[in-house]
Amino acid sequence: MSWLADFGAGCRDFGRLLRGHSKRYRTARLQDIATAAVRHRSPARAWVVPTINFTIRTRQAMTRTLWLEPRQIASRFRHRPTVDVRRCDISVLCPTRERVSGLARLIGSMRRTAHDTTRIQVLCYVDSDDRLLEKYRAYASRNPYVKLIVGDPVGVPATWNALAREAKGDVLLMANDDQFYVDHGWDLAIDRTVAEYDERYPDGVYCLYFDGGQYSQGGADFPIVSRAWYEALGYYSTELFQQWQAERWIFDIAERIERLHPIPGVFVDHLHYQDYKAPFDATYQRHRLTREKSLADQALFHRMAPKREQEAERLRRFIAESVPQPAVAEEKDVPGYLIQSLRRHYANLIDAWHYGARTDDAHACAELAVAQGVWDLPMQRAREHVPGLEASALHDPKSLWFIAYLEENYPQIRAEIERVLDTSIDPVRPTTDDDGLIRHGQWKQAHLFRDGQWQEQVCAHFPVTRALLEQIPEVTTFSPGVITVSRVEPGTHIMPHCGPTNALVRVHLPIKIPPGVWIKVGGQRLVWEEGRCLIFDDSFEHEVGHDGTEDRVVLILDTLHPDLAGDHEQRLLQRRLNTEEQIVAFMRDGDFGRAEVRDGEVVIRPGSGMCDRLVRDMNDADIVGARLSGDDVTWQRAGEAR
Amino acid sequence: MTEQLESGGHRYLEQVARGILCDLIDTWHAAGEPERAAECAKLAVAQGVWQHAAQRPRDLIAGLSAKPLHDPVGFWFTALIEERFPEIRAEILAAVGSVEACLFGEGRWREDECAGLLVTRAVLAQIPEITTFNPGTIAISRFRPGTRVVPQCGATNAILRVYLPISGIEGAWMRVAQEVVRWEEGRCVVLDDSFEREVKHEGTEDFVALVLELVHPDLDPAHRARLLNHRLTPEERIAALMRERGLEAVSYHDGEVTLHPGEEMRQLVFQYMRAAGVSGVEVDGDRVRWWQATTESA
Repeated sequence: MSWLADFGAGCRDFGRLLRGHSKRYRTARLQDIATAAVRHRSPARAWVVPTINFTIRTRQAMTRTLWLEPRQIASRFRHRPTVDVRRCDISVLCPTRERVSGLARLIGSMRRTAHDTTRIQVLCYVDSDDRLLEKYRAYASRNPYVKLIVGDPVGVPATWNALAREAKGDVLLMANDDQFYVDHGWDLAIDRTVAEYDERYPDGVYCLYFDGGQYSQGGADFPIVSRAWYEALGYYSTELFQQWQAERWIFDIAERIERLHPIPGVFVDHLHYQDYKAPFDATYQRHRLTREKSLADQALFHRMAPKREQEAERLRRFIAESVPQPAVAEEKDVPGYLIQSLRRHYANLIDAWHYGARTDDAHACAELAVAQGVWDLPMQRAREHVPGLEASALHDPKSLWFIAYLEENYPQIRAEIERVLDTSIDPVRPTTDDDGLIRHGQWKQAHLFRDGQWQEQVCAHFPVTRALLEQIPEVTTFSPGVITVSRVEPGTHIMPHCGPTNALVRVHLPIKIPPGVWIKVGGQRLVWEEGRCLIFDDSFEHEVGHDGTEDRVVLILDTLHPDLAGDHEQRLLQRRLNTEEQIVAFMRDGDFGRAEVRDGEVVIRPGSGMCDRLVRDMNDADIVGARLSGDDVTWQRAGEAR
Repeated sequence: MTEQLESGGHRYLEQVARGILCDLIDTWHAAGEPERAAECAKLAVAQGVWQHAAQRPRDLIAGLSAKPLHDPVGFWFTALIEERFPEIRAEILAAVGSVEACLFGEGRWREDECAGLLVTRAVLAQIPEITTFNPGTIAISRFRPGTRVVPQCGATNAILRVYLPISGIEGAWMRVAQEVVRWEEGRCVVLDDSFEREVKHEGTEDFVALVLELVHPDLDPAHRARLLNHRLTPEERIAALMRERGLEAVSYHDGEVTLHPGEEMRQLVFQYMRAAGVSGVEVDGDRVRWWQATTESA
């Protein structure tokens, strides 16, 4: 592009951005232009961003002098200290990046306008790769009331959670480094509001926001949640979204349970570039504020409404249960890791009895395990048991939005699977993971998705199905489980067993259901119906039989248990192993120290334990080499020619 | 597994169940819940896994007399050992210092551990039951003051254990099933290792004992031969390790051990390395190091 044309394009962008000073021209399009302009470095256009930023700074200075400062001064005389309510401890959670001055402006404005700064805990998260990290550190060391947490760049929503885990306060304020506290006595306003709602809600669950009259009807920004809210929900900010919707998520849940209340008369300005209150900079650009992402988040937000209703329901249940109850005698606590081992041993034992068809013995062991407090129900015996989840063998298909979507698209999925099965490219193979469960017959599987990743070799044959399933984050992005084509031959019997965890529920989309097949879940016999999803909790004992004459085919999809949230959800998702973790696990399991590919060969060095044993045995036997071939071993003795 | 179940009936299944029940009961003991452990043992007996709730070996051989303590008089060599006790005691206290030692195992004397125990070794060598025909070990065992060993059972009822207390019996307490052992320096105690045993040492000095193992006298010759054949030579141990880990070859040159994986593992490692885009990995405790193939020509 010629210099002139480039310059012309720059002028056009500048013109558009300049018009953005007027609210009526401030459309979503401007985001894209600004982002492109920040990235554009050619000399003919490099002037655009600095110049527009100059106009914004000028505007900012004027706003400050003409409006904010007068308001701040006025509010100093207006606010009256309250003496009759309890002072609550306030935790401010502020992620920040490359904006030391923004952070200083926020904290300065907060402390200047607070009545009692001693109870304010400011927690800031700085990414470990921040180029101003040292300046942040210097700032924190000058201002001891600021606690700096330095961690991986995990994105803003995860950052709020990391900060919330450190928070000690009675209320947790969401904050950002582009806010400016205007009104004096905001902390006392919190005290008054908290006192009011603590009195009204003995459970202490509520969500607040500052309302200085800046919002049009129904608006809210930067939630302030009570400690009870945070603990009942188990997390501060959802990590579902790439950018905007985290606050809306909280407000939406609060509205559903009618616990969203304003703190009136406090104005906190949000100096965001979208409102032409801050210059365009790389931090905003880093959030990749492109319209597509915004729209994707919005779409996801709407799709996830049932999940928010579940979260609201959890809070309602918490509220209902927090009516004081008579104290129950505490049982002696068995450490968690031992409970895990007990569950594993019991599960192994019960599997063994089932394997030997000694059903009564299996059930007697399950009953004893429940009597000993190892599990809650004799029929639900996951090796990993997350307490407190609703335990129901079957789930209502209407409770998950994507069931209707799956059933709608069933004909396409079925057509594609039928096209592939029994051809030369059919990836559905005898299972190696679950072969121990087969009493007779043949069980074949192909995983389209596992360990958080699409299995490309399998998916290559199912492009339509994959494209359809990619639209469901619950069975992909947010699933620690699998998506599997499962095929069972006539004459197969899969013995009664429990899935490994109660944190998942399993969706079966029956593809081909010939007569004579059955499944029993939690002792209840069920039938599949082609194209109609069956949702069950596979931590309940289940058993599959096939007395018919044709193969049965089902598409299995795992999704997180609807009650799961917060830490557990995160932990489960993190447990999906990536390749590197699989390699490290392989090395640890085998007690190998080093493995490498050298000249097309794999060479492994033993770990220290194995090495010591081998060296001792080899020295004892005077051996320097051994080679296995079938049942034979060839020994190389020391001193023999190599 | 299927074949064995169909041909060997439920014996194999019970063998599996015994192993798992041992893990389960040990875990309850580790959690400090002996009543829970006892409930599991009781259920196991009701299900026919074991005969006695207090005798729970992983390997249970039917038809052997089962009692927690045996009368030492029934074993000719206890008299011999007790007769030479003063010399044995002096030698052990002088030689072993403050460590434990395993003098004999896998059918062989461990020469380096026997250093300074000439008389002891000579005496024991006269007793084929605890040497030539011993599938287990001869060891010097030491319990420090404050030691507590949670209740546990030995792995098999085919092996008996002889304890010869050397010193520090003050405060040493051992229970085998329902019976509390009465220690006396220089007096052998013979116990069945498959019974639940619990140890506490509340004295002020280390409790030191010579511990000998031998085959249960009721064991039939075929079983005894099989047990003795289970003693592995170093070669057998190396071969077993290779089979277990899927290795094709092992070599030891210039102080460095190299393992060459079998075909299945080779493919797995190739697949891993390709997927991760690396050519090597080193794991040392919590540290993991990755590296890329250098492109230098070979």
